[in-house]
Amino acid sequence: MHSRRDFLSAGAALALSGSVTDVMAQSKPPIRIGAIQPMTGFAADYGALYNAALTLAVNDINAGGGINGSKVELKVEDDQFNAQQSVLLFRKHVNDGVVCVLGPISGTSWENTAPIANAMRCPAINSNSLKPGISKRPYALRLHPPDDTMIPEGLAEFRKALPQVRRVVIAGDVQEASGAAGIEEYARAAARLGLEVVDRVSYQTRTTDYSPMAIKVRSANADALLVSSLGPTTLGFVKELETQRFDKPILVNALVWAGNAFINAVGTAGSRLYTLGFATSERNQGNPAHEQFDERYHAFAGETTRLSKPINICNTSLTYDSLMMVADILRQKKIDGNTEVSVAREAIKDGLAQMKDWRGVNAIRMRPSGDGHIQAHLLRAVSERKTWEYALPPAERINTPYLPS
Amino acid sequence: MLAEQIINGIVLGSMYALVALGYTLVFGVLDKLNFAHGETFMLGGFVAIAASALGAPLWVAFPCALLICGALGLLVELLSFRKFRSADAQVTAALSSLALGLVLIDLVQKTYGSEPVSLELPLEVRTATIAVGGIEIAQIKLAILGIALLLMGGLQVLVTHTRVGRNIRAVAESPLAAALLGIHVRLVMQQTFVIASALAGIAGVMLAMRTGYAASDIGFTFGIKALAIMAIGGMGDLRGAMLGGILVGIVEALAVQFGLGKLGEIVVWILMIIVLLVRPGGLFSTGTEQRA
Repeated sequence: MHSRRDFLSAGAALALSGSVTDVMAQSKPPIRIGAIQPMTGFAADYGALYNAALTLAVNDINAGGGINGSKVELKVEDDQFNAQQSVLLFRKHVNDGVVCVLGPISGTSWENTAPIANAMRCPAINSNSLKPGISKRPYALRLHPPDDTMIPEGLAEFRKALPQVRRVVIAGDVQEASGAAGIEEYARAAARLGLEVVDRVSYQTRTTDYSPMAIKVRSANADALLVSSLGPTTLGFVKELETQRFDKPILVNALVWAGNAFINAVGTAGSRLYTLGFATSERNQGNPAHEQFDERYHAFAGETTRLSKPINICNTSLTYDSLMMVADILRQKKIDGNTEVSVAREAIKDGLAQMKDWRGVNAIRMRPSGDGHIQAHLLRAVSERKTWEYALPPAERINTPYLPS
Repeated sequence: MLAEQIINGIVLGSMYALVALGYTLVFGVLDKLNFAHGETFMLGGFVAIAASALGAPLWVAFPCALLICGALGLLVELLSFRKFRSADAQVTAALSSLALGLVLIDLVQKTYGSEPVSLELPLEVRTATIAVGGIEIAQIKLAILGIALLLMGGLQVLVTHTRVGRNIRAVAESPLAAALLGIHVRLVMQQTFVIASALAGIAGVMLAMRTGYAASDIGFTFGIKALAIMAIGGMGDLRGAMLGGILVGIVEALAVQFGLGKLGEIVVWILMIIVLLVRPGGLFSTGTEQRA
């Protein structure tokens, strides 16, 4: 039985250890980490979604005493989802002395920033974009699985869930890097799975009217439509398809799974809509770490952002993991705020290069291409609850990774 | 399918025309470009969203957009054009209106977020069709086309057969001469902004009805296209704006039909370059008689 004195002693010890850690953390300069997110402009909601995950990670790291006694100081820059801006802000972060940069988030931005990360010898981690082949080792790594694994894995489940689908139309945004790349990945995966592509329909980001494309899709008389474009663009397209009474299944790549507004706004146009992803807010899906993150993230983002409710958890945990991964490497390499920035950057680069697997909220396998792999699954839109859920029960999901060489 | 695409192009073109008419009216009267006009159009869509959120029937959005966007036109005139009436203040006025437009976007984004907001229309309203000559045409598209044609016709009558229209044409011809004739030039300018902005607001409501959502960035994409249409039709020429809008709508629809969807939004710019090379005054320009 514990006496009152024991409790007091334990409390005092805890308080002392906390204050000792705090004193240590305060005595050392902070470790500065940069982030690039769209905080204003048409994609500001993406920034709010991912920034909440980063802030949660910073809070968790600092509440645990920081990294080797140094607090983490996160500096977020706003690129307005503009690739040129992303490049300029990346340079600014490097010149400001951050040890690494998290982001930018869009495929086009990542494609332009990754080579600069190598040229400037500053690690950069992306946890959102989908276009394959644009990460650049050793300094620019992406945790998010790109479409060269997500589409083949997800389309295989789509085929399993809807075996009547034989003929498909592929449509997509040819202007945005991830959108255009997704179209090609669909074509390759469809050929591999024996699906006949009867037509291809192209459009551009911010197209003002999708009805000509919808007429073309409808007239192709396919069994299903495969779409690759960002949320705001896809929303206009699927709403128009609904207006034109297109009643076939629609599969959109993870570009609509990521982000908050699409699933909140799609309404009845989402009644036959599927996407690809690796997490939902459902319980008992085999990842307790994600369920715990989901609960904490919703509470935090619900309080600190003005995002529409329910907030779509999507791939936010990967953004959280990216910062946790950097913190872990820095801890292991005994880096703190007193370490020279160039040394810290090299340590992160080496840590990332040596990493084969990461187990945080997500279990990520790192590929030689510099991209992460997490098995993708087919998700279905549940319009009335404004959420995504797994289309197949756990036992029926395909868990065979598709890893191109 | 081709006929369906052409009808679809005409419907879209009629909305382009309504926005282009606003640009052309202001340009005709002031010789200045109102870069907040696209955002006034965007606001029309959000008026429809607000009306829907308040549980009002959709038709209520039209008079609301007319009033709110018309009033916004007055504000734009006051803040961005009143002080910059001289001929050499074109850039200042354009920049001022551009800044005002950006403020509007920011305010809408702060209220509704940066991503598209769904306009919940009953599905049967959006999907109801009428068969005309074997072609299924959405009733909502026909309604939009009807309203747009009515507004364009009404504007034409207003400009050519009413006192307000005569005053607008007089100021467009020469503000100084109009003032000497006793026309209240400032009032005419205010009226022009109200008419142009109200038209844009209604076009914004119609686009939201048509697409099922409103987006804060639509003012830029739609507005800049309407500017090109004004150039294609002839700067300051009302008939040119109407016909140019419909022409662009049809060309865009046909571009997708014939596999040129990759060109997307640049179709209008290519068309503008070609038209201006062949007819620098614009396709339908007939001098000043139809200038606003």
